[in-house]
Amino acid sequence: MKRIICGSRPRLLVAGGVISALLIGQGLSNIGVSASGASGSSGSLVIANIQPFSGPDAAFGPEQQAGCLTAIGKINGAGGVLGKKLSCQVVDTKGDPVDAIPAVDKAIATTSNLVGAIGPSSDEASAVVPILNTDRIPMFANTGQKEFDKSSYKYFYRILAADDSGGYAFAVWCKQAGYTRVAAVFGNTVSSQANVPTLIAGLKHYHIRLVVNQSIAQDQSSYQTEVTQLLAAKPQVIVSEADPQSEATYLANVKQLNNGTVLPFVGPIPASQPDWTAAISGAIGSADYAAKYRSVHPYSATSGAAFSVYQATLLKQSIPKPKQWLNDPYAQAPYDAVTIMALAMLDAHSTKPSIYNADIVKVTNPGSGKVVVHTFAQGKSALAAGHQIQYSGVFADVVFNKYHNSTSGFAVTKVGPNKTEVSVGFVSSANIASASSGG
Amino acid sequence: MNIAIAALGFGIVTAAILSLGAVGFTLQYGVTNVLNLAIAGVMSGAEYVSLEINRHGANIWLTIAVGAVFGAVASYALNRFIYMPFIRRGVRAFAMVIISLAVWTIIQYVVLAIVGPGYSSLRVPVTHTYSLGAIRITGTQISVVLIAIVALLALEATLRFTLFGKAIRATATNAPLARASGVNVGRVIDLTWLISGVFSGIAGVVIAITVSSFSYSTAGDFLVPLIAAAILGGVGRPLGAMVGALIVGVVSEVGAALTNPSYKNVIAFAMLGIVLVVRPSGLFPERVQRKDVVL
Repeated sequence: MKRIICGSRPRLLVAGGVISALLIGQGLSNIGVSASGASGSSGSLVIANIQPFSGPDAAFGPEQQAGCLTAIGKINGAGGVLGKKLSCQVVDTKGDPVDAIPAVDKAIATTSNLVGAIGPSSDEASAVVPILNTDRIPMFANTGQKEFDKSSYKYFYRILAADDSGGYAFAVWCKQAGYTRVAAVFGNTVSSQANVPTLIAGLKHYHIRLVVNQSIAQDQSSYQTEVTQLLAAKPQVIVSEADPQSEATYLANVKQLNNGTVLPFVGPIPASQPDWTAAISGAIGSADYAAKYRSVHPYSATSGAAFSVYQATLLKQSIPKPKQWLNDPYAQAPYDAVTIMALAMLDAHSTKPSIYNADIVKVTNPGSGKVVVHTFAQGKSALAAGHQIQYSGVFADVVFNKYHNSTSGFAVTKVGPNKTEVSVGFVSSANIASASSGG
Repeated sequence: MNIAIAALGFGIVTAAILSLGAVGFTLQYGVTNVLNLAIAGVMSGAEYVSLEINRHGANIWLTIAVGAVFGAVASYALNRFIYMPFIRRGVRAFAMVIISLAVWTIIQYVVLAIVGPGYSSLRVPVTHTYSLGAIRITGTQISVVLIAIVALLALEATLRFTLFGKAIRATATNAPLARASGVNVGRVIDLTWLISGVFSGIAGVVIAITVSSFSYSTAGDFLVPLIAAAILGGVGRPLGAMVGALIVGVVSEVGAALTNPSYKNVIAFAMLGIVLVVRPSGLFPERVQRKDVVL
C-alpha cells in the first residue's frame, strides 16, 4: 500500500475539487430549471418563485413558473409596471426548510429589486413565510397548511384552497360518489399529512367508515406490507397523497396484491399533471389510471374572458410543452397572483412592496363603483382613467378575508383523451362548509 | 400473525434489492478503502441508460444486462479518471468520502439536467402472482430474488475458488504484501471496480423495476439503507452485506407490519444501532484494520 502524506498542495486540490464539484452541481441544477424557462434579469422588477425545483416535489416549481412567466409576458407586453419590466426568478427550496432558508435569504440579500413572491409551498412555508413577512415581501403562497388559515402575516396571501378544506373536499366527493368504506394513505410529510385531520372529520360528518388510516414512509422499494393491511380492511376507495414515486410504488403493489385490479383512488394532484400522470400511469397502466383516478383539486378555469387571455399568452411562452399547464390550478394561481401584484403597484403608484401591499386587497375585493377587469391591460387602462378596479382573473374571483385567504370550490376531474383534464364533478365552498360544520 | 409472515416474504424481496447494491459497495470498499457514495450516481445512470434501451424494445433481461455493463464502465471510469488522480496525490480516506459525495452531487445534477425532474417507468411484462401461505410474490419479484442469489453466489464462488478471487482477498487484506507476493494490485483494483459496477448497475435497474416509476433522485433514496446493510454485515465483506441487507429488509417490513408503517425506517436503523453496539465492526468484521486508500 502506497502511503503519501498529505501536504498543503493535495489539501488545496481536494478543497478545490470539492468546491468546484459543488459549484458545478449547483450550476447544472440551474441549467435544469432554466430549461423550464427560469430567469431573472437585472434592472427588472423581480418576482421570486419560491418552490422546490429539485427533490421529491420538484414538479411544484415548473408549474408555478409557467404561470409566472405567462403573467409577466402579458404585463411586459402591456408596457410593464410604472415603466419597468417584470421577471420571474427561480428560488429552489428543494422542498426542505434546511435548503429553503439560505436560498430565500440569499435571494433577498442579492436582489435589490425583489418586489414580490409566488410561493412558498407547504414543504417550506413554515420556515419561509416569517422571513418574507419580516422583509416585507408580499407573497402568494401555494401552501395549504392550516396554520395559515388565520394568519397574522401582513404580507401573506393565499388564493389556493387551504389543505384542511382539501380534506373536507375529499370527504364530500366520497359522499357524492357513494363510498361507504374509505382508506386514507398519506405520506409522512407535513404537506401530505395536512389533509388528514379534516378528511377524518369530514368522513365522520357523513358517517362514512374510515377502515384504515396509513401514514407511509416515502420512497420505499415496496409497500407490500402496508398494501396487505389495506386490502385486508376491504376499502372501496383509497384517498391518498404522497410524492409521485411513492404513490406509484404503492398503487403498483395494490394492483399486484389485488389480483391485477387497482382500487379507485382519489388525490389532490390534477389528473393531467405531467409528472404525476407519467409516474402513476407508468406504474399501473394508462387505462387503469384513467378509469380509477379522480382528482379533487382547487377549481381551475377552463373558460371565461381571463382564461382566454391566459390561454393565448401561455401557449406563446417558450417553455417546454406549455399546453400541459393550461388547466392546472397551480399554474393559473401564480398567473393571477403576479397580475394582482402588478395592478396593486399601479394602484399604489409605487413598486415598493411595503407601500403597494395595502393595495392588493383594494384591486381584488368587490366594491361599489369598481370596474371589473380580467387582464392587466384592462386594469392599467381603468386605473389610468381614475377608476377603482376589481380584478376577476383566470382563477375566478378573488375575495380576501381578513386573514388574506380567498377560497373557491374544488373541481373533481379525471384524465381524458390526449391527457386533458375532464370534469366529473364539483365540490362547492358551500359543500365544504357543510362538511366542516360537523367536524 | 399472517401479516408478519407476509412481511417476512416481502422483506426478502427488499433484501434482494438492497443486497445487490450493498455487495457492490462493500466489495469495492474492502479492496480499495474508498467509501464510494457516488455509487448512487452509477445506479442512477444505469437506470436511465437501461430506460433508453428498454424504450427501443429491449426485453427486461437485456435491459438489466445493459445496466450492468453501464455500471461496470461508469464505475471503472469513476476510479480511473476521478478518484485515482486524487489518490495519487496522497488524498486520505476521509477526504475521498467528501470527494465521492461531490461526485455524486455532480452526477445527480447532470442526470437532472439531461432527463428533467419527471418520472419514467421501465416496460416490464406483467407476471403471475404466486401465493405461498400468507406470502404473495410476483414472477418479477422471484426473478429479482434469483438474480440477487445467482449474482451473490457467483461472486462468493469467484472470491473463494479462483486465483483472481484469492488475489482480491489478498489485496483487501494487505495490499503491499499482496504486491510483494506478485499480485498485480492495480489490475485487481481495476477489476474490482468493474465487478462493483456490475452489481451497482444491476441494483439500479432492479430498483427502477421495483419502484415502478423512478426519477433522477430515486437511486439516492436507497443509498442510506444500502450502506446500512454493508455496515451491518461488516464493511468489506460481501457475504456480510448480503446478511445485512436481509436484516434491514426483513426488519423494516416486519416493523411496518407490527407498528405504524411510517416507522419502517426508524425500526430498521434502530436495529442497526443495537447490532453495532454489540458488534461495533458489524456481524462479519474484517480481520485486518486498514487506514488508507489503496493505490
